[in-house]
Amino acid sequence: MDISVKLQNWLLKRVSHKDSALLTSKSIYILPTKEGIIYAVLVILILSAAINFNNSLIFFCAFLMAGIGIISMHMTQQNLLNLQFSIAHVTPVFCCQNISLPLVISQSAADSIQRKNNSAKYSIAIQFSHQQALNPSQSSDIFLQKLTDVRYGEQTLLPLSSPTTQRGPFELPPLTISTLYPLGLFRAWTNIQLNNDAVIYPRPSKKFNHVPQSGSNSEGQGAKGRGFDDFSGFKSYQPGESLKHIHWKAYAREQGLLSKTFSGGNNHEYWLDWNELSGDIERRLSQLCRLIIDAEDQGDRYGLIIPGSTINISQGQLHQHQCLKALALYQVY
Amino acid sequence: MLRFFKARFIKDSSLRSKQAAFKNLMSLHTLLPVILFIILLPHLTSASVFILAYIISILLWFTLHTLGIIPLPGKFIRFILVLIALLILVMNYGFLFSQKASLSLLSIMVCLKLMEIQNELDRRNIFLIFFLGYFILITHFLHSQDIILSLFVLTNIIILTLMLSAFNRKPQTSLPLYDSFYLIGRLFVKALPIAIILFLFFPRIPGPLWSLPEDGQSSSTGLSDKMYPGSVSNLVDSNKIAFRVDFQGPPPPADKLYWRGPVLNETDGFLWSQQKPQALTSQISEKDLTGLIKNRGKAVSYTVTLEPHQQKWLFALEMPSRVQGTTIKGFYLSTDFQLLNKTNIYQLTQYQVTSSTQFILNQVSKNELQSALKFPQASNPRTYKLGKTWQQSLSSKQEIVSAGLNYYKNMPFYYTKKPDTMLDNPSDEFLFDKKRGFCEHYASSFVLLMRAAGVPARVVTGYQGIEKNEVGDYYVVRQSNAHAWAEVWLGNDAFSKKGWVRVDPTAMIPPERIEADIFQTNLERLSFSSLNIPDLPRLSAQQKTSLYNFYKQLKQSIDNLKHSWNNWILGYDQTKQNLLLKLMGFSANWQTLIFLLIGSMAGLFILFQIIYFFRLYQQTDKVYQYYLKFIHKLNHAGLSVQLNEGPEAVKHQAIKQFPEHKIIILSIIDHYIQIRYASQKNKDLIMQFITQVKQFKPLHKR
Repeated sequence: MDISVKLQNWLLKRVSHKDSALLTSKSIYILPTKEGIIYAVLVILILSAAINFNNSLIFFCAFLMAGIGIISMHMTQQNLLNLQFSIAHVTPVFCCQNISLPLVISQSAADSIQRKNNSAKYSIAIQFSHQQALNPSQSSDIFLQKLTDVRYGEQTLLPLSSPTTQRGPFELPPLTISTLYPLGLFRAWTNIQLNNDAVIYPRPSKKFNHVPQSGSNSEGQGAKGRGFDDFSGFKSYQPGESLKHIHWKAYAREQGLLSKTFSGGNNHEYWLDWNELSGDIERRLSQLCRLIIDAEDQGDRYGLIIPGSTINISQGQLHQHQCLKALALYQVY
Repeated sequence: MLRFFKARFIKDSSLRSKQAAFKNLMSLHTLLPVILFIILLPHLTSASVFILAYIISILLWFTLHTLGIIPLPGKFIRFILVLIALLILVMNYGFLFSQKASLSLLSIMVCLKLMEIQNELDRRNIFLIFFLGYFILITHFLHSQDIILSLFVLTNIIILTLMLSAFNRKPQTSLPLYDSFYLIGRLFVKALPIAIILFLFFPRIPGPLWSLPEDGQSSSTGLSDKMYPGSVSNLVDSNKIAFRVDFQGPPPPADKLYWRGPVLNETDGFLWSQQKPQALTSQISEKDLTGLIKNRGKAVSYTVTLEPHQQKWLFALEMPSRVQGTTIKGFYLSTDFQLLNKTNIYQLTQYQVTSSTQFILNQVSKNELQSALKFPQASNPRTYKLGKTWQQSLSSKQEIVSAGLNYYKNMPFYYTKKPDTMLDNPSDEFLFDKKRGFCEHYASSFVLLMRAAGVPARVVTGYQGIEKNEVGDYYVVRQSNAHAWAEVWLGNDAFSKKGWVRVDPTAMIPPERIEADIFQTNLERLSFSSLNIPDLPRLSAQQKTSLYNFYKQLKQSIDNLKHSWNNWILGYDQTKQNLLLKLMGFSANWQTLIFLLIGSMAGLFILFQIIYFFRLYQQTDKVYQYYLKFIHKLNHAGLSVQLNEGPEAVKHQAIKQFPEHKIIILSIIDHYIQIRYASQKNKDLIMQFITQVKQFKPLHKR
């Protein structure tokens, strides 16, 4: 096995989870690239030519190039120093969809003292570590190496995308942050593993017929139940209600914000119960997932019963998320 | 063709971003052939037309490709291009390996590498081009080491490095390319002191490590091992500098300033030449020649900085008694007292000499004396006859020499730079018909006369005189100082122990018979030819003089700069390094050098740090500095506080993460806000704030 791959695997074992990773000189590794080694050979070649021809100017050039090499090493390391990485809020996805994780890159405060006028970081490469470890040369289709500049005082948002294979909390694989800048003679890199709040819902099953048990404790259906189909009157606007339903004309007449109410035709209320379904755990979760999506789409009010937890009847985005999250995290430790 | 190319290209790059990236990089790629052309320029000026045409067409091809007009050649055409290149090289240089041929090969190789660039991700080829570029730049110093070329090379190294950094900026990134210019500027500002330290203290090993193939092609300048009527007077018009001299103390008087060069012994009556010089001394690098030359009188020490003349002579005042130099290898004194280097001088060479201007050379072999008596048969019969009459009528060699010199003095001989051409029996023609000639006519005819009269004699060529540079307090010897004189053997026996004695027949010519153009100094001649002043009738004599003086001053200042350059940059070798160490108060050995090297590097890094902290101190006020320190501590402990967040937001985050430090966090933020927004400065508050930040030690949390 390649030494660099071995090294990388060894380093990856030492990566610790963090909410936010700050790159310090302790955590940055640096090694010459293949080109860097050729450059060193070139400098030695020029130096031996200088000795051989006894030529002072060639001596000077060899030394200047050596100096450039040394300083470029320092600059390559500096180019990663004090960068800070974290993951912003992640939109949950269903299993087997690609998840997009917004990586937030910024320069840490301490670096600001360095050079207020010019302390941008150039060509920072970000990639999943395992890709680099497995095929260092071959870039997989899933996530290519991404490059970005980071200006001082600005946050750079880089969407990482990754396929998902499993419901539950999403564990972001370790990332390798690297740079070749300025001359490509050295590669500075570090591995980070970031925590995130991403949840992957179970994969919804195909549509299927299921007659859910009606909500036993539901209070009256019909006229009182609110829906979207038939106009039934006005009520005062509550924050959170759809803006479409505001009676703007009344607002223009300075009668305050009124919201139109509708009586729904098929306004149902029911429980989605684990026990009513059959099959193994994943199958039931998939089916429940499908039912929740459909219920939310139809504007029904629904509750969820799974072993160990019950979520009361309600509706709306947040409710849906709670239900799906409960499914996602079911028996995941 | 174009459509085909485009289709292929899209197929090649599976990702669209790649294609866009290549387009963005076009500007950098378009610059590549331009910079390559500039880098190759000094080589191209001396290359043959075919090589020039080949390289230019390849560069043009690539330029057109980057503009999207034509595709790069495929494998087969590339193969043909390589064949053509080899053909051109063999046509020009044959199968001989020489420096020039290998440089041409290198130039062609780097251009052909361009043809192989696949896309912007082709790191291998692009890096190879850059590295070859660096190498080619440095090879220019093999031919010339003057200031202008050095500036040219340095500029190009900077440009190449800049382009290399631009190449490492991937096009997907958002900041403009010129953004990193400042960074490369910093790179050089920091790399330069490192280079200077290494230059000064890196142990200089006297080379060469391997022997070099000599270039037969480069032509020599200055005096050569052949002399014929007109060969020296041709040199006289050249204002080129042969060598520069720094004397320790005052220079010897003008009549002692004979710089010995080629000694010519063989002649056919027209052409003078020399046999392969035999070494008188063994080959050691530092020599004391006092045993060989019985010197009398005061010794004079000086350093000669010899311009490369592609030949072996090391010029020194007659006669050198001690020679030393690190860049010359295995020099020796030949049996006819020529100071010779083992190899041709292709570079500026510096050596230290001690000479005695009064000396006796009374060692000679029989063979040598015999060849110094050879009069070429069937040439110059009248010269021979005159010499023979002197041999019969005069008793001693001394008298014959005097008779010879008097002949020039009493007859109407003129000293001129532009004598008539003399083809057969030039000595006869000069002595008896034309009587107008330059030093080579005088020297050769005198030597022939002496040989005919039985006095062993030979022609010595070299330089005579010096020209002072008032600005730099050193002396210059130009090609126009080239001279030829004679040397006669006055015996090493009971009658005379004088040995070889220098005789300069041109010195016999009284001033009225020397033509004006010889008196005219080089500078005077130059001031009116190269300044291109058409007589300047309106200027008064005084104005003309001041103009001339100004011009002279300028000329000398420029030459002084060159001399210092030669002395301290080009001539910086082991000797100068040791001198520097002694001046600094160290003993001159390699341990000291290693110590100095490491010490000064460490010093340099400390200096960088000091500058960094100084700027840091300048840029930030203390309160803000400590506030940043506070945030840094928080971030190190696992928070991710951004700079654009206000102190209140920082406070909430910090308390949430470190409830156990609530009191101190509240106090720090409170103090900070108070200091920031208070109308008056409160020193106590600031002091408290600082101590609190110092005391704040949050435990690391995940």
